[in-house]
Amino acid sequence: MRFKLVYLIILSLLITTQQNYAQGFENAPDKSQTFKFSDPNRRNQVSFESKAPLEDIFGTSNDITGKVELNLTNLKSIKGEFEISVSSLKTGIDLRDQHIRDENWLDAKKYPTIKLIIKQIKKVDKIEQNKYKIVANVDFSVKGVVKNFDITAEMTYMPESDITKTRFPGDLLVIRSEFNIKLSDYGVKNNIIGQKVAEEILIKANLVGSNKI
Amino acid sequence: MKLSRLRLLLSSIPILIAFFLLIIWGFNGFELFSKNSIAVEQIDPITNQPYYEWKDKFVFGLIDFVLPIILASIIIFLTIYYILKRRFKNEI
Repeated sequence: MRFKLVYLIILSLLITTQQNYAQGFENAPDKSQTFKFSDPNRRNQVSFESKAPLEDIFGTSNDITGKVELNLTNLKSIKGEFEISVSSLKTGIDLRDQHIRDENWLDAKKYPTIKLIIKQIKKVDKIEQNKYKIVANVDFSVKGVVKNFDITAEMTYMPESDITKTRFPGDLLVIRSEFNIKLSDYGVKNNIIGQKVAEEILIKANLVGSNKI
Repeated sequence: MKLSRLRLLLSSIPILIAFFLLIIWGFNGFELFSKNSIAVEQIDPITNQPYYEWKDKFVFGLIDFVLPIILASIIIFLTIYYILKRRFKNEI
């Protein structure tokens, strides 16, 4: 009787541990892989939104490069980095795009890219089959200033199929994320911040990478 | 009598222009500044995620397009009105 109880406790502990550490895509190959996010057709996109009292600004960039190294069966192993070129930021007004690139704003000449480096994965939660929500600790750099904070992201694994081949050869990794940054944190100071440009900017990323590009 | 009719006609033209421009501005989305292109939401067929494509389209802005035209038209018509008024007085 006592042996059975001990056996049950050990078994339940093992199951719990398995559930806690089964933090990766099922049926994915158990090996380290690199997914690259440099889409020659520029379908990967990062958008930004500023909502200020006088004006709402929406912009995008499709010039994104990056790679993620991970073992798909263990999402805590993720390491990666992404870069967005500042000169590719587009808001629908050419003059405003020029201003964004100016020294007063993001200074594209001196700091041509905005960079995000994944330092550590803090939390992994399964949403559904082949879809996980992660909390990642990242270094985000704008205008040469690096800030460290946590972001949440959704990751979807799509094994190679006839549908995925229309985008890229190989398995696909889809990453979606939304987070806010404060312009003053990165040394972007201007009189119109708070009136025509919001101090807090919402950034959204929609990225598709492949392990065969 | 002739002048008051002319005055009515002249003063209604800037009002009509302003009204017409404000309607166009409303149809263009009440934008504050003019735009050269607009972001159109699309859905990625593979990921089912939204993304935006830029389409070339001129959108009238209030501050840099609609208001200056309205002000200019009012100034032009007021100038014409005073010139005509002076000529009318001289003729009498």
